[in-house]
Amino acid sequence: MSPVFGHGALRLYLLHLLDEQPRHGYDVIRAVEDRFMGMYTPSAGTIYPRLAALEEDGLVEHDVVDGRKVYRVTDAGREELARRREEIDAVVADAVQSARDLAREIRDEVRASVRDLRRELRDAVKDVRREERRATREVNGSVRDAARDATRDVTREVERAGREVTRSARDVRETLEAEWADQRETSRELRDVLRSLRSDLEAFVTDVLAAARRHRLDADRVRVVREALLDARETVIEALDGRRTG
Amino acid sequence: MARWEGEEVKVELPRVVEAHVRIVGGEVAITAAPGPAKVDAKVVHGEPLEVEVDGGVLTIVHEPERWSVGAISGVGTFKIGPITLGGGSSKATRNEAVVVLTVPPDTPVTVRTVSGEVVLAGLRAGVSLTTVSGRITATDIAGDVALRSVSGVIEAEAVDGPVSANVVSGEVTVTGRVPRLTGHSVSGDLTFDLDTVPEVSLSTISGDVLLRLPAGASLHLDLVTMSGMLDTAFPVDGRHDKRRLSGDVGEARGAATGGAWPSVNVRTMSGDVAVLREERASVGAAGDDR
Repeated sequence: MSPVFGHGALRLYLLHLLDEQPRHGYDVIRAVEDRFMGMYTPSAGTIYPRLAALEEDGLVEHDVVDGRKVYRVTDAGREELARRREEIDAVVADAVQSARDLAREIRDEVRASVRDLRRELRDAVKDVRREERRATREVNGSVRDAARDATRDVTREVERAGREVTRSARDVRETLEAEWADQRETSRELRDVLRSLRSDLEAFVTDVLAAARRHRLDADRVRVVREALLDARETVIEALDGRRTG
Repeated sequence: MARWEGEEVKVELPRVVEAHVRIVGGEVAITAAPGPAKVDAKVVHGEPLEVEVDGGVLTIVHEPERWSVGAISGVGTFKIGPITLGGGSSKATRNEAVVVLTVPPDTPVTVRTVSGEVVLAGLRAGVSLTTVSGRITATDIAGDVALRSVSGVIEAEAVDGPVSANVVSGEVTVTGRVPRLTGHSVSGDLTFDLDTVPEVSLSTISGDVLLRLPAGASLHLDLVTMSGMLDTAFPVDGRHDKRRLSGDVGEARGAATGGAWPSVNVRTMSGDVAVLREERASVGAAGDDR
């Protein structure tokens, strides 16, 4: 890692100034003004962001003394200075002789920091887009999960309802079938009964007719037989209707 | 009134209240320091240059006479016609000078160049900078800042004041405390890193807009594009679809539109727009001793 890579001389010079002695922001501004031969006094707006950036990179740190930030170089800052000793010497030796030198130095410094800024912001945009994609994916994912859960619930519910319907349908069918079976049973019994009744009646008719053939039938006897048949008929029908004869 | 004309003019002027520099090519460097204004102007190619002081108004001119001063003022409205002015006179295109000027910080300054390089530092009373293809670099500028360029790159750092930037294909980068920001670009990118939340009105055709604001910003946001991408790192209460990202940020959420919070409006055709959040703690000098 090269924390000061791409930055201009001013940044390096600030590091050098803080290596000489800890300073607060105003001291730093005065020292830079001295370097610029009094031709230009940098404002807080140019110095403080650079101090903050140096601090962010771990090259300087600050203590608060009497409510003011006093900056000093860290070990990492000293290493950076040692590594770039030649550049620092050049910056210190290249005293600004003219307003033109000053302007060139300022120009290089501003361009370097603008280049860094643009790169930083472009990276930040990428981060934002990545974050948005991730959030979108997450939302989509949770929507998908919710949809899947809902589908599963609904499916389960439908299946349950279906099973219930099937079950009640089967119950109904079974009930009906049982009833039908009962009815079939009943009708079979009835048919059997009726068949046996019929054979009883046929036997009765055969016996009665056979007895009638064996005898000469006068009007009185026929009348008695008919009355007996009518009585028997009444009795049988009353028995079938469930009525008792008195 | 005093007037100098020649290949080289070096002069100290005690009471300058305003400074104007117009050159074709070369360099312009203006820095601020208390005391008398110092002019150090030199011709590199072409005709002699002129330095004039009238009622405290300093004017340094090195340009072909046939180039009217207003010729490129149309840049802001994207009239590209006048920029072919180099073709008018071969002599004019070769006009080149180096102007180094030191003025008191409270001096308003205007600079116009065709291809020259311009550097400014420490000016606290507003600057108006116009270039066709030249490059403008400024730091530590306060007051109204007007920036115009056709294809030149503009970089302004530590600005303290309202900014208007009009470019065609040039890139613009501005950082600082800006209470009001307006900008138009055709294909140039507009990049702003601001310590305050200004009223913002920016538009481009294909240029990208990158705007970074303090983390605690409260504002009404309205970003509109035809086919660019819209992104913001701020949580926004409102609408976010392909063509529009619109809504309230921070304490402006729930407040009436047009209320106490600044409006940030950006329009592009195909340019991307991103409104970023400064995650780092404030680097301002607020808590520091001055």
